[in-house]
Amino acid sequence: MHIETSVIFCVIGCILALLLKQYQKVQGILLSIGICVIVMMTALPEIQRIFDTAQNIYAQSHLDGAYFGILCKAIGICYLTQLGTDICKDSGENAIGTAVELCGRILLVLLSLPLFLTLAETVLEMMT
Amino acid sequence: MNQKNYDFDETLSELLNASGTDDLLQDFEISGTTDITEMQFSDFMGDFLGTVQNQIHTPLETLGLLTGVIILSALAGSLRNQKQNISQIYEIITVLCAAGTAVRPLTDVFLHASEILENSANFMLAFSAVYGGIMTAGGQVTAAAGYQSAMVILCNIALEIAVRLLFPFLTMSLAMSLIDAVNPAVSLAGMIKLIQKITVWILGFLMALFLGFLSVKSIVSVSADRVGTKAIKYAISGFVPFVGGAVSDAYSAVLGSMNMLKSTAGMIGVLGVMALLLPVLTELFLYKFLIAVAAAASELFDASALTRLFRNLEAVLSAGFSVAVSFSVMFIISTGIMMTLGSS
Repeated sequence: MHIETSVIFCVIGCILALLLKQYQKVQGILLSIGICVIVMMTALPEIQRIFDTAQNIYAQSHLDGAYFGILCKAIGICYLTQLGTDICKDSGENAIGTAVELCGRILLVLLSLPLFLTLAETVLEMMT
Repeated sequence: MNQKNYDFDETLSELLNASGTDDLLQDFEISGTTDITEMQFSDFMGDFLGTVQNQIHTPLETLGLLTGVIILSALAGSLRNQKQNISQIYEIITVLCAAGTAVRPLTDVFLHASEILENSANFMLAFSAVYGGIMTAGGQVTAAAGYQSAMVILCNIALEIAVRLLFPFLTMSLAMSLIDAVNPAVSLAGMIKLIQKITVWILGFLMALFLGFLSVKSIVSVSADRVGTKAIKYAISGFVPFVGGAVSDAYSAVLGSMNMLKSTAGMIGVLGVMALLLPVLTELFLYKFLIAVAAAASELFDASALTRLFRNLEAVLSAGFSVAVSFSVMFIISTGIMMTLGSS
């Protein structure tokens, strides 16, 4: 991913989307979504490199690496939720945006439930 | 005759096994009394460094995992300004992961330290009682009931307080630190600080009392401070948190006790005490250092919740390290006093 290319692409995309929204609002929104998806796809290999580095660190240790998977899923949910919410809110659909955000939050809480339980057990074990 | 030897060996092995000394000796690859008597300082240092190498493995792995959590936490940095709620939940998840990664090794370290210190306190209690009995039976009634005995009793009380009160306090503080970092809405920072303050106050009071008794009549001490001694004292006062000053003041007495141990029980006595106390102190210090590194790394990536967790853990480990160092100082000095009593 080249930051210059991405920035230029995004700025041109923004201008085009703004122009298009004046005449065809739906197509303007579709263009915004398309640009977001393309930029995210170009950023994915870089994110993959960060994940690989973290995974290597986890793989080299003999400790429980189950947390790594949870963190990766959580970051994925966060990014998708934010993207979805922003697109909905930009389109003027605040209610749908809030619903997307709520779904994201629920998923994150569900994902972290086993961690909460483990921590609660450990704390209780330490207190007794 | 053979039957007698067999009984002696059997009794010895039972005693070593029951006291837990067997496990300790196995760590240093010592299998019998012959190995102990023929042990050289260089062999001991080699074994000790080997133990440290083994000990450093788990803390380094823990640090590696924590670094992974910090890196993944930094990924959510871009979300922080825009979607406060989502990023807050993600921060909680990263703290849960970091706590889950670090808490097991840290709890193990605390339990291990507490176990060793408890065994040492039990040993000292039994040792002083048996030694006092032997001295009384040997006609040294005055010595057995004198100032030195009061000092040994004070040491024993201090050791018991350290093991049965201060370490449980710190474990409680460790548990509270985890809860405090996970849920920013419920701030337990005040409670954590209070527990740590109480621990440090008790520790400070015990050390002050101990040093006061020690300075009334210098039983075990070396000659006046030289430049080297002053430098070591200065280093100790900076190195040991909370009670560094008191520990550095007791340095001469520790050195005197070690000399007394060396002249009565030989080098093996000194090595025995070192083998008992050094692994615990090393382990606690390693974890304290690595958690400090993790805190610095998380601060670098602006992960505030993780930084708070690591700073809390570091504070608990510092207090634990101080308790262990103070305990070790008291243990060494009271052993030295016991030896002085026997030789007087």
